[in-house]
Amino acid sequence: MYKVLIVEDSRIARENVENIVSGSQDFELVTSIENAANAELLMLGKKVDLILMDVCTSDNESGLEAAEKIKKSFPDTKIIIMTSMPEYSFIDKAKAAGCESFWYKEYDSVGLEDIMIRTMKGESIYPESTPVVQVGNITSDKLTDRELEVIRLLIAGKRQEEICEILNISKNTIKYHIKNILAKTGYSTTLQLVVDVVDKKLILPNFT
Amino acid sequence: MLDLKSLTSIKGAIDNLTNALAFSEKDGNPVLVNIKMNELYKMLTGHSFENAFTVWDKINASAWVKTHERMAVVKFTDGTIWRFVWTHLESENGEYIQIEGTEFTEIYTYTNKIRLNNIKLQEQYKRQRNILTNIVDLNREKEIVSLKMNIHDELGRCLIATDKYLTDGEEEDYNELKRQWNSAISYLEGMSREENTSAKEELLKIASLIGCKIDLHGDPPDTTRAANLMVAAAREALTNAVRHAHADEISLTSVKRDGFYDVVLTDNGSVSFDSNYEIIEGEGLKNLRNRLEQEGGALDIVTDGSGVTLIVKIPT
Repeated sequence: MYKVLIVEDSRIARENVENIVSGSQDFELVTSIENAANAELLMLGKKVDLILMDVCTSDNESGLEAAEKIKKSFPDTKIIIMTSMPEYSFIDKAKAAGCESFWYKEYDSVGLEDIMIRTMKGESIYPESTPVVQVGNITSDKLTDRELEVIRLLIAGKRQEEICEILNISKNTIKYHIKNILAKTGYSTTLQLVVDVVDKKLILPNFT
Repeated sequence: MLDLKSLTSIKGAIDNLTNALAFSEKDGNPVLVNIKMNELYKMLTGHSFENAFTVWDKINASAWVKTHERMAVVKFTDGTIWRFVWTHLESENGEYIQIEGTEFTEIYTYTNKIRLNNIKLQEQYKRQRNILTNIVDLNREKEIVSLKMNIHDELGRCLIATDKYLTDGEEEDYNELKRQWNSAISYLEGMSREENTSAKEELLKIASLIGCKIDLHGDPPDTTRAANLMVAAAREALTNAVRHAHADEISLTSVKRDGFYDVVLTDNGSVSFDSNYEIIEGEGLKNLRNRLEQEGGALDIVTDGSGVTLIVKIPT
């Protein structure tokens, strides 16, 4: 029996995942917690084989940041990131943190129990892509990684000069990117653009 | 004393100015008034320029915007906007009063446009902030609605299965039916329970699971923000106590005074230090320090013979 820790701050979602764990013959629930920052502390005194980790947890603690720390202290514990947010950077961040698998709560075609079993057998299961959302006239997959980086910095309130410095590109290049993004999406101002992108949770400033 | 020719040429020069300009003696008697000033004053009062004090009173009486005592903005009947400034001049020949008017129409129009745009931007910014603040909560609500729909479906399936069992069910179907109903009922029970546990309760639960006790003394925090910061500090103290000092008990004492909670965290660990020992802050302590300082609090780490004490200041 693999020992499972659930980190999920939405009570109903947590109980749903608890039911999946307790209904399975291969897994045993250690406990469920709501704040990702508590996971590592718990592991100092409890053996955990698998963590089912939400990204946006209570007190604004990021499950991705917690996972990165846990992987350094407990590299053998496997982690499945669970989220319902279509934020495009979550998959890459989960991979960079060393998390074994990733599950979209609402969009995934694969069931959580299936992912848990395969992860414990050594597989790494990631969705092929982030769920696609509509941004103005286009779908989010039509935006390039560079364009998404520019939008993320605009959302963070950076001025064009600061964005140039951070991305190490010229002012003309940044203008070119912004012009392209606005032309594609059909928005007339960057403000309309960032409001829509945040509204669709394609970029979540507090959890990345 | 200037001759007539010089005076005429000075008058000619100031008449060519686009600004309105008038010089008067210190008792207000006009000395030199250019054409523009006379035109504007006539448009305003129907009279030619008179005593500077009377003129300034009339300008002030018609002022559209008055930024301070010596400046007034007047909107004229022809739609132009002028800004008048009163200046006291001192020279070796005596004291004079200067009243100068500058056309402000274009600047005003643009300033006004900028002001209106700024209001619009502020509103959009506020809207954006609201979306950013509420985004996670909004999504949680969406998750909950989606789960409620699942529960609805689950109940539907139970009813169909029950109907089938009552019509032509076999004995062995009973256990499966019972399992389905139990699962649906436990969902429903869960929905009617209280909301999430508090940050403090969760930390106490974890401490107990890993065999450590937290003793709480003093004033409990009044706000969620202060409570979360106190729990974050206690979590860090607990982590360090268990990881490095092999402690099984930590003590948290909180005193509310002068707009802060003064919190002292100690443990019963077995590690002892020289009082000069300097703690190297790990990632956890650094993060805690940054978070406390961002919120207007502070963190001090004190080592003495008996171990490490965290002294934390948390704004109320």
